[in-house]
Amino acid sequence: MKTNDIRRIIDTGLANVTTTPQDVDAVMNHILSGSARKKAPVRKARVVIAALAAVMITLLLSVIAQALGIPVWDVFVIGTDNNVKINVDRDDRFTTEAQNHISGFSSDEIAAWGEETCNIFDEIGIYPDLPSYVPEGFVLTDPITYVDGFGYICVDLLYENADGKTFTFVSDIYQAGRYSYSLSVEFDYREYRSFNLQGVDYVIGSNLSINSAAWFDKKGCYTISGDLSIDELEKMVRSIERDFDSVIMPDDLKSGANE
Amino acid sequence: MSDAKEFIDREQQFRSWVEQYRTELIRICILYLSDYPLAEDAVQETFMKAWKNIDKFEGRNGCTPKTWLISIAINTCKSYRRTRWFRLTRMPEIRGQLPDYFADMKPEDRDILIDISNLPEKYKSVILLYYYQMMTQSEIADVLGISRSLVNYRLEKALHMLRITLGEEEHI
Repeated sequence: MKTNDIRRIIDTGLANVTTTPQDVDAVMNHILSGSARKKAPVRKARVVIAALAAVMITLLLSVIAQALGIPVWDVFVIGTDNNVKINVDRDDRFTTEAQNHISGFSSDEIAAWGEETCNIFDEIGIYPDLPSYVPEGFVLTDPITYVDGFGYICVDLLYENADGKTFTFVSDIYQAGRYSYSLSVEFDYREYRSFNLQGVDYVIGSNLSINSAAWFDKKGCYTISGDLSIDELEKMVRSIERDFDSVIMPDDLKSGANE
Repeated sequence: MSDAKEFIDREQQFRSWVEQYRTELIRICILYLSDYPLAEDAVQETFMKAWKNIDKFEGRNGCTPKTWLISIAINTCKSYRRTRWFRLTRMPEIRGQLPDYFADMKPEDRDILIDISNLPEKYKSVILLYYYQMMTQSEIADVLGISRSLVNYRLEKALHMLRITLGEEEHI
């Protein structure tokens, strides 16, 4: 196999992807109908169906759970006891201090996540508190970093093991300055766990049949999800050694508007 | 030239681009998104963006319609991939898989495509543009908005990664 064959392989494999005159007409009609701001049909239909289903399931389960006396809303939203909005002065000391160290990560964090992952955060100059435990056999395969439309630095890490099992570790890191962040985690309520460790609230559960753990602290907002059991996820988040500066203290919490 | 005539000319020119490049754009988007309907949406969105910004293209020297459309398509795919829905649900699902459209391929051809699609995004881009789109390194630099030397570096690194996964005897 030579790389010159790549074009042949793709063209052969996708030979049935063609463009008919009707396809061209459809594209042109869509453009010229002045619907440029509309989402494309398939995607739009998916979004509408998913949104309706999510709303209906959420309402139904909430009503049932409340009727049974389960405090749904206490675990439905993480962040503070009562308020999903936080508005906290970001403490930049961790960045400055970390950059003066050889590495911003502990040896346990480096051993668990691998040097490549730590180097990615090193390049950005940000040092989240990472779990010191990662299930054995998972290796980093696809790191992506970018700044999203809200100004958060996003780091997506895809890990995979030899059995083809995968999980993603998604970090949305606050940039310098004040920030406000809210995180809603919609679980299907069949199984979830919510607990506070060293001042940080964690929610772990099954989200659209994918197991996820989510939490946030002063540095950012994090989600781990994929082919991991609830127990493995809990073991991961319980292995996080907290840097005290990253914990959101009660005094930090304000319910004011975003800045 | 009247406004109406100018509009018709522009529409005809744009139609010829759709006829000429839609298939290739969909193939590229499939390789980015591993999903045919989503790739079609991305291409539709690409043409919409192109139509709305055609004035900007006409002001760019040395850029062909094809490279311009590909750059829009790649950025559109990237924005799709960055949605939380894609990151949390689609990305784990599509890992190591190819859409059904590749079902009839020879196993060895399939393996190489899986290895390419598993490359990190920045390396996959240069491989596809260089070997599939047959672009020069300068054109790729234009499309991706990076320097030519970085294109060269990424190309070498991507080939190195493919050599490791395919084995040295594969002569890439």
